[in-house]
Amino acid sequence: MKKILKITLLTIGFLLIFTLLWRFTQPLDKLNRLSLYNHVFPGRERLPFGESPQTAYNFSIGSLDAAIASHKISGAGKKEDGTVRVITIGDSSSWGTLLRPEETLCGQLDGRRSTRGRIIECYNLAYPTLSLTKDYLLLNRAMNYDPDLILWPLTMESFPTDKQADNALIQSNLKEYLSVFSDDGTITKFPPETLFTQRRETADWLRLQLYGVMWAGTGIDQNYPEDYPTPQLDLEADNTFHGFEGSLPDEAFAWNILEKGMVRAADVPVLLINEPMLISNGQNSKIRYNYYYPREAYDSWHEELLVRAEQNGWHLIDLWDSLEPEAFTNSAIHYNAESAAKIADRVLAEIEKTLRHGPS
Amino acid sequence: MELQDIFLLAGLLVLIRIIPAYQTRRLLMIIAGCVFVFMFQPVLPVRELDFRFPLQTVLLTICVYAAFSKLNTLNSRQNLVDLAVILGTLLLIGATRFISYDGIITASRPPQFWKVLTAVVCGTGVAFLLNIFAKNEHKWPARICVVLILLALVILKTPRLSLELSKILRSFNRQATELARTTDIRSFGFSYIAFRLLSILIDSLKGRKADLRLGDFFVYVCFPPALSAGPIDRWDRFCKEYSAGPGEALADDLYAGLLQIAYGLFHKFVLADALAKMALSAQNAGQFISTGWAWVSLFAYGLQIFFDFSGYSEIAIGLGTLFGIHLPKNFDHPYLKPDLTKFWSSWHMTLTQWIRSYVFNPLTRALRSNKEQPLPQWLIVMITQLTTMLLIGLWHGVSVNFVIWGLWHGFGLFIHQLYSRKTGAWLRSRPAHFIKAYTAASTGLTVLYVVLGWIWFVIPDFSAAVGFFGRLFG
Repeated sequence: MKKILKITLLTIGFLLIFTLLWRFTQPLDKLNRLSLYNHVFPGRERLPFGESPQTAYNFSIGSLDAAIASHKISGAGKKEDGTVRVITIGDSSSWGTLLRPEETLCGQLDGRRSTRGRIIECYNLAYPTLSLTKDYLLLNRAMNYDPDLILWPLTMESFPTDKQADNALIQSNLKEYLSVFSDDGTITKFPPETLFTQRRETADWLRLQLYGVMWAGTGIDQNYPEDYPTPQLDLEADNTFHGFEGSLPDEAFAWNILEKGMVRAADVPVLLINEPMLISNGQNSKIRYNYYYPREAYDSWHEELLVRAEQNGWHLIDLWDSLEPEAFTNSAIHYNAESAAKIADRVLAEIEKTLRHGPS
Repeated sequence: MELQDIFLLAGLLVLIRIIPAYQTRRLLMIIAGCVFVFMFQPVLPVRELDFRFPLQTVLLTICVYAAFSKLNTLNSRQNLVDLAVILGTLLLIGATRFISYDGIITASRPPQFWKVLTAVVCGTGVAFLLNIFAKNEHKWPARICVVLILLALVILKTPRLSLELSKILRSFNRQATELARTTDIRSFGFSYIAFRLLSILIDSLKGRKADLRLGDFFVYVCFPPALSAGPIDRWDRFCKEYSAGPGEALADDLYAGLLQIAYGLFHKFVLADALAKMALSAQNAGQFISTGWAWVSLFAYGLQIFFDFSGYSEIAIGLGTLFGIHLPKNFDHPYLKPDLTKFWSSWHMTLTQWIRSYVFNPLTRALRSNKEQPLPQWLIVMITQLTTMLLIGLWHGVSVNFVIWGLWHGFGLFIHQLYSRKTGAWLRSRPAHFIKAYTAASTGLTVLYVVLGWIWFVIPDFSAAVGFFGRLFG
């Protein structure tokens, strides 16, 4: 019995010391910035995201630090002469749902020559969540990597104020969100985290490193099902958008976040892209463009976007109606690889122009 | 076994062990064996099957007991008590359908009670019948049991037969036959239970006398810690230790058992589960674009299967120790062995020993028995090695990939035996540092050979496995 008592006491003592050390050193923040990616494994082409890690070798990790540390941008180093560093932010259509990394907008731009013969070095920092606030946080991170140009594809669904903080990425990075968006400049203090409360995040960090082997070996970072449901063409006779009938008041949209993003980019030019979307020709297509948008609300938002871009001197490529319905894969905003190539051609032509004109 | 099962079992085994009354402890252990056969059975889509499989396992165990020896009479007072406890437990488990729409102990709600009662009555009737003949020195009851067990094993291990059985059962139950899958037919732990039952039947057919009580035999077959991944203990060793009682060394056993469980948990739930995220699998075998990382994932698989399997074995041994039963070791640093023969003496040792006792040795004796026209030694070695390894392969599943995996090792063992006979004396005469270097190199080569063999084990599709070899060496 003595032996058992001794080993029990030793175990409890070890756990106690480890928990106290964790509590006082708060190592998770430092741990999240450490990564085997870009050292042992090649950096990921896009931010970790997914719900079936066993087959996609990828999953949605909460910590932005860990996500960015696994991205190839963290190992990018200094820019070489004759290159243009472009960073893409945005939602799932830029991240590339159902597209391989090289098929996304950023993947199609990477390595191409701009009109002035400079080689484009593109990094995909998009994340499959529709929220300007999330875009802002990623733009804020992108600024650490000395970009020459930011590509910011956006769509109306990212604008409603009620969508801004109500997503997993923001909730997992509340400290960062509050430090950026706290109106009075005060920094909210969070209670110190313990090993127990951070066990999930710690395990996620470890899992992300372990999936590095399969990422390095296969280059796969999402599932590519052969069959998937195509976007709805026959729509509900519903003219509401986020609870509003018809066009929405300005205050229902987070224009301020878009403006804040443009200010944050400062002297780095930003090229806004109004993302292509499916324009249905099915039932009730006179009322709605697609599953996401009623025509009236979208048209008024669209007009407002064009006016604001004009007034503020923002560079904007308006591609909202540039693709045929067949170009969309499993949602009204997810387009296929051929369409991404077409968009990349359009964007390529604008890149030098935007760079020449400088920041907005 | 999930974590909660392990903790539940650990607590329960310690509690049963500390009960001072021998008879109560015995009966509780019989009940535990019976209950855990049902508890561990995973849910199956074919209606009532996840109840019927454990039920048939328990009834088969009783029938085997009744069939294997004239010494064992079901009519003795002690055995009738044990039988009543087993049957009573079965009926009580069946009766849980009256208190819950989901399974409490079982994976899903048990079938109607009359069905359970009918099965129990029929199964017991067959057992008594077999026992009458077995007592009169008839051997056919034991032979019938051997055939039935082998048949069940073949059906469970052959995907095509499993699929056909699933279709038949589905159509009998008026379920959609087009939804039938090979995975519909899974009887938890039956591979291990079958080998325990077979060992005593074969011994009895060879004339070995086994004077056991039904309850002791039942606990040997259905010992809960060893249900999921062995070890396959020998019945004589187990029953001797079990009937002697757990002894006085409770503190020592608790310490040793908990330590063993801790090692097992670490190996299984930390190392093996982490390695699984990077290990070669049937799904990822064709996805590799990098040769280097394909090698990494292959070695990760080699380690994963080792830690997974040895982890479960350690947990089983640890749980057994808590109860005072010292199950045999199943792994002994197999990846540190300098040749394939030593590897197979340290990997899944209890299965290898079982095959050696019941297949390899009798086969070798049979092949050597012809004194007039003796077979050449190399041919005997080849036949015995290939046969035994083929059987070990088939034990994992009746499919081409397991056949190739078995032959891969059989061939490796054959080559090693020929080679070691010729070089053994020469090697012993070398200086010590040469032997050290030679041992290190041969250990590396053995690991490489075993790890390459896992490709056949893990990838069921032949062309995909060949493709993966191509990726590694292409």
